[in-house]
Amino acid sequence: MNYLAVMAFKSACNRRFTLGLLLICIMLSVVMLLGVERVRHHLRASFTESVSGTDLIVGPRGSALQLLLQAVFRLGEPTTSNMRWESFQRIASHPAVATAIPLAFGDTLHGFPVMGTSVGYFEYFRYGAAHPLAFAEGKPFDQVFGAVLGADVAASLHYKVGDKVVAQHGAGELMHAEHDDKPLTIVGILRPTGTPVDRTVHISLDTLSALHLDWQGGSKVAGFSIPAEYVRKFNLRPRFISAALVSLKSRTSVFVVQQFINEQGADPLLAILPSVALDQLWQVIGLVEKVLLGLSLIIMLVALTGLVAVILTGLNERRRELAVLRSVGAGALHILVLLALESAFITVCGAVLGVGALDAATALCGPWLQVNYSLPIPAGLIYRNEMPLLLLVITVGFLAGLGPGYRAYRLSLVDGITPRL
Amino acid sequence: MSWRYRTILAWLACCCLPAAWAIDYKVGERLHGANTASQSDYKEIDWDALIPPSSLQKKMLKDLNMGDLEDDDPRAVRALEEVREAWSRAPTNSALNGLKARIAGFVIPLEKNGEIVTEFLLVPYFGACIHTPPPAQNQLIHVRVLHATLGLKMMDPVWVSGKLSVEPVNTGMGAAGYQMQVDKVSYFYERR
Repeated sequence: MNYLAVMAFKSACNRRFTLGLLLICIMLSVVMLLGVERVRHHLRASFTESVSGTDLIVGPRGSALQLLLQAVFRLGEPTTSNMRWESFQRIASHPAVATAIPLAFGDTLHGFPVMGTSVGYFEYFRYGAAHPLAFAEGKPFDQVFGAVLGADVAASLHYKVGDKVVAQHGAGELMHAEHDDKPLTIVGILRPTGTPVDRTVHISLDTLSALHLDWQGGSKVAGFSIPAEYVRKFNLRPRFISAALVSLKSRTSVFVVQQFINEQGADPLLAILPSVALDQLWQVIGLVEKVLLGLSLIIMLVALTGLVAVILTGLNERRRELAVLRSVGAGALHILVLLALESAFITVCGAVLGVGALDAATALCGPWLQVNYSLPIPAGLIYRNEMPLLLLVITVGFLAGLGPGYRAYRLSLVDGITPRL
Repeated sequence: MSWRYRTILAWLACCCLPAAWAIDYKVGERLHGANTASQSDYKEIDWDALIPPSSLQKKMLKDLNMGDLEDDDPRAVRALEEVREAWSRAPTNSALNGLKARIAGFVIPLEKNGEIVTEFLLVPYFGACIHTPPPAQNQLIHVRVLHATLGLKMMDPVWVSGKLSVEPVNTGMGAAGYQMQVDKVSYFYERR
C-alpha cells in the first residue's frame, strides 16, 4: 500500500495548480468554519464568565435584563430609579448574606463607564472560574478622588498611575457637563480579565458623591461650586446606589434572600439570579451565533462540493493515467484507494493549513480584538470544541473523494485505452 | 450515486436528533419514573425524603382541611402565614447526611465555564425560580460537579449521583440546605 501513497503524492504534484487552488479553497473554509466557532465559543465564555460567585444582583424594580446589563456589563443608560443606601445596608446585614458590593453608575470617562463602589469590590468580586481581581499597578483607592482603571481603559487612553483625569457627567455627550473642577487621580490599574471590568473606571462611592456635591437635578448650579479640597467637610455618605452584587453564605438560601429583598416595602427592589438572567439574555443574542454557524457550514459545503467537482473533472484528464496503471496490472481497488488517498491528503493538508492560518490570525488580531471589542480570544493551537468540526471536514472530504474514486473504478477498465470511434 | 444522498440524509438525521430529545415540560411538573439502569451503590431518593418526617410542612397541610375553607377565611390567611414562615425555616433531614444518593431534578446553573456547568441548584419541579413561589430551602440541592463535561441549560432535567451533605453554615434561618459533590451528571431521559 505504501507505493500507492507515493504514487498518489507524485500524481498530485503533477497536477499541483488545480490541487493548489483546491487546497486554498479548503483552507479558507476551515479558517472560516473554525474562526466562527472560535469567536462564538469565546464570546460565550466571556459572556458567562463575566460574573462569578455572585448569587443575587439587586437593583431597583424593573426589567431583569436592564439590571443585568447595567450591573454586569455596565451598558445602557443609568436608570432614573435607584436603590436606597438604607436598603443596601439592610440587605448587607441579613444573616444569610456573606458579602454585598454596592455599585453606582452615572458618569463616564471618554465613553468608559465610571462606577462608584466600595473597596470590598477589589477583594470580593469574582469572574471566570472564581478568579479574584488583581492589580497590574498601584492599589485600591483609599482616598476621595482616587480612581482604579480597568486594563482596557488604561491601554486605550494611555493612562498610567498618578495621571489626573476628568470624568464627564452622564454619557458625556453634553458639552460643559464635565467634572473639571474635581479631577480624579489614577491610583491603580487592574490586570486584564476579559470581562467588562476591563472597560470600567472604579471610584469610591464617596468620590461619586463628592463629584456631585454642587450639582442639582443633573446640572451644575450656576455660580455655586465647592472646591475639591473642601469636599471632606460634607457628608459624603451615598444616598442612592444603582445596584448591588450579593453573595451568600449558603447558595441554597438564595430564594429566601430573594424573597426578603423583594419584600422591602419602602423601596421597590428586584433581586435576580445572574445565571438565570444571563441565560435569558443569551437566548436573545444567541440567534446571531446560530446564523453565523449556519453560514460557515454552508461555506464548508461549498468548498467540499468544489473538492468533488475538481476530482471529477480531474478524472477526465487522468483517464489515460489510470488506464495505463490498469494496463500495468493495477487492480480496480488500487485505483479506488489512489483517488481516496488523494482527496484525504488534500483535505487533511487543507485542514492543517487552515488551523495554522487561524492560529496565526488569532495571535495577530487577539490583542486588537480585546482592546477594541472586549472580545478575549486567547492564542492556542486548537480547542477541544473545534475538534468535532475539524473531524467533520476531514471525514466529509474523504467521503467526497470516494465518489469519484468509485466512478473511476467502474470506468477505468473500459475507458482510456479503448479508442472511441 | 445514491450513497451520497444517503450520507446527506444520515447527516441531517444526526442534526435533527437533539431536537427530538428536547421534551417540553410544563411549569410545576416533576420528573417521574425510575431509570432502569440505576447504579446499585447509590440509593435512589425522591424529593419528599428531603423533608424531615416530623416537619411542620407535612403536618400543617394535613391538619388544615383545605376543602372547608373559603378564600377570605381568617384560618386560611393564618395558615398561609404559617406556611410561609415554615417555608423560610424549612429544616433539613439530618438523617440524610452522608447518604450516597441518586436523585432527578431540574437544573438552575450557578457557575459556568463556557457552556459547561460546574455548579448548579437542583430543584424538584420545572419552572422553579422563574415562577413564584420558589421551592423551600430543603427542596434545593446545591450541586458541585467535580469533572464537569456536560453543557447544561436552565431547567434541563438531569440525574445526579453523589454524597449528600447537610451544610452546617449558620445563615440565621436554621441549618442551611443540602449539598452534593457529584462526579458526573447525566441527562434524564423520559419515555412518553
